[in-house]
Amino acid sequence: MIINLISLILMCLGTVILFFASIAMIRFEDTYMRLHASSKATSGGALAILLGLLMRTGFTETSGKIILVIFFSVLTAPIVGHAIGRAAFLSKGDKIKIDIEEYGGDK
Amino acid sequence: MSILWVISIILIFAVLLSSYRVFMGPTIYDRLLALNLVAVVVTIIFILVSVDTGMGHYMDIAVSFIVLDFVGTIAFANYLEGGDFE
Repeated sequence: MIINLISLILMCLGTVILFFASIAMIRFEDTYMRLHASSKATSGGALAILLGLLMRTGFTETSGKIILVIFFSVLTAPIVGHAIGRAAFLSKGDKIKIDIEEYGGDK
Repeated sequence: MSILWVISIILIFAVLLSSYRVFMGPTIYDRLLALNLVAVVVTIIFILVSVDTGMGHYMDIAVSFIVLDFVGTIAFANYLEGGDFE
């Protein structure tokens, strides 16, 4: 069955993305590098696994809840990434070297 | 042993790897970021177990878990803004 094969490929792709992101949380050495890895994985990897699962379940009440989780995950992953990046940038730690700062820092 | 169990076991190892950063993070932002990733992966594990075993109430736990994770992360990031935490 072709739709079973597509579902398997999508779920394996999403698993690989999430596993690589969790390796990147250990290997990367900066908050912003980890933000780069985690922000892609929580939208893209979760979307791939849940789309593959949605092809497998068909049209039942389970798939409605999966669609709800897909919608909420895609909606909230960029907001979370932006909020954590903004909070880390505005903290009083050691700053990254940047030319144009749009948060109105002290010049 | 179906494919959903294999994916769930691989994702449990992903949770263990990224929870290293939750406990050992240098700054509190790393801990918050890793905790968000752990919450998303745990939500997907709940959904996979619910589809494979047919227990429908696990799906309700997953939906409420991802909503509460978003609210908690945004509230933490709002209060940590401009602080001096190590």
